[in-house]
Amino acid sequence: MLSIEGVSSGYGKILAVKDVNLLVEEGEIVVLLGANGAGKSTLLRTISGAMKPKSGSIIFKGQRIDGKKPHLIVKEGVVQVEEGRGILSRMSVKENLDMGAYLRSDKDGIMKDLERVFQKFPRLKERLNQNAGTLSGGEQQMLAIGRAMMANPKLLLMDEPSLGLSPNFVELIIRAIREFRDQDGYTILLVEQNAKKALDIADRGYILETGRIVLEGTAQDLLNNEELQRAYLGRDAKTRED
Amino acid sequence: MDYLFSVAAIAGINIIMALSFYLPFITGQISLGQAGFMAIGAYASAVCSVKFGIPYVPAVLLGGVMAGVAGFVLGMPALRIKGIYLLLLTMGFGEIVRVIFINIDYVGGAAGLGGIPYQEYTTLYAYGTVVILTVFFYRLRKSRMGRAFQAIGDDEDTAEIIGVNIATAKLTAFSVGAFIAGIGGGILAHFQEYIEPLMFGVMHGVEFIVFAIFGGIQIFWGPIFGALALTFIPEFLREIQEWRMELYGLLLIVMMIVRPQGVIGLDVIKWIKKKLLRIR
Repeated sequence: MLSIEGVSSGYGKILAVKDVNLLVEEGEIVVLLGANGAGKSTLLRTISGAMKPKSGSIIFKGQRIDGKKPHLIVKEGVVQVEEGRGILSRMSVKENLDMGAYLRSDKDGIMKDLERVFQKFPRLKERLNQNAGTLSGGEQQMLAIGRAMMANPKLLLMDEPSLGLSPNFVELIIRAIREFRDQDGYTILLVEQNAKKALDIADRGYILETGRIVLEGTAQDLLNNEELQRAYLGRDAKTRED
Repeated sequence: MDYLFSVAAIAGINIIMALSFYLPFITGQISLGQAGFMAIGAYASAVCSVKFGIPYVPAVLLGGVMAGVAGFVLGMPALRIKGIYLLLLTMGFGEIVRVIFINIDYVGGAAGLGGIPYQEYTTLYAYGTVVILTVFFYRLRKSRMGRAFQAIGDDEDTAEIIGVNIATAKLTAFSVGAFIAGIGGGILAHFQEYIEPLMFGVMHGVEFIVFAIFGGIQIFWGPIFGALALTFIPEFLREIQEWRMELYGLLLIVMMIVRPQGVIGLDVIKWIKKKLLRIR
């Protein structure tokens, strides 16, 4: 569905992402792991069009999308959930959700998706007319994800959705992501710090180190990889509930 | 009575100018250059009337279009910069416009351009324009484009991720804001009968901002109220006229502390709506 070939990207002359090849098949959850500054967010921003790649190509459903304007990429069905939530804090919860469907005109589909958001995150329905800036961190994350659902995405790019959330909220978000694949038919490229949790629900994974892919494989292989266990999962990852 | 009408006309023009500042402001673009666009509108419409004998309404509209085109051109570099740098760019633009007019002999240079046909019904035209703008802003608020403007003003990166074409939206807001300022300039020119570059200094650009910030920036009623209040009150308190700019400064500081959203916030609008419903 998404194929990234030899992509380099970065700010100015410094490349944060170097010659990356990455593949996401339809119906998969692919997780992208790596330390701070490895280039994960840069890669996501390059896919969503917020940054232009210096070289290489990004192909979505057989079409090149690299170099396209962000709003055109959203129109294709590639929707990003920003790190740090990125909600419109001066607008209400309802207005935020409405804005998610900004590029759509199918009223029935929008109504249906709104119901789906409420089903998934009932809390948002309770807070509908509240100012989004007054929501708690977990609620803001729900709102950001709910808003992405409103865009009728085919591929969801999620940047650290569990960052800074309480364990309960982390569980809820992780479950939501799993359901996205199993019930909603979204394909997901997930950037996560919480490697164990992410690999548990993912199909495949890539490890990014200082801008390069150093390891890739099925989620199971990565969970069993000794080097990875030391680096990201903690020595006794398999027994510990992270 | 004549005096009152003339103050009312100026207040109407000030409302137009405050709204011209407010439109790009919704998308987070703060322009100090509205006086420059006003100058372009004033000079263009005056030239239309004086040199070509074009009637009032088309002349003023042409002035607006000229200012709008200038806004479009300036809006493009403005897309790439934000905050204090945009302020500097627009301030520089305002000064450049002024200096250019000083050096064009065709429009009278520093001595100014006189003999502009007087529009007797300026008050009517000014408030007619205000009514049209009010309807425009009211409908904008409910429209797709209006919500996109607000989203950009709230958080540009997020608006982009939602799928808003921010370059188009910001450029539209900036150009239409300049067009509105140009209309204000044209109406002013045909009211004063005489214009000179000095009338369009940067301090006027600051004044328009003060109208909006004082009146309120959450909804378009704010700038309208701000321009009305800050035009009429100093007129009736002649003693403070001289200290107007100093008082504006003080007013802004007090507002920032006490009520940063301005006098007419969304809460006030809600309250008024409730009262109106009760009366009905």
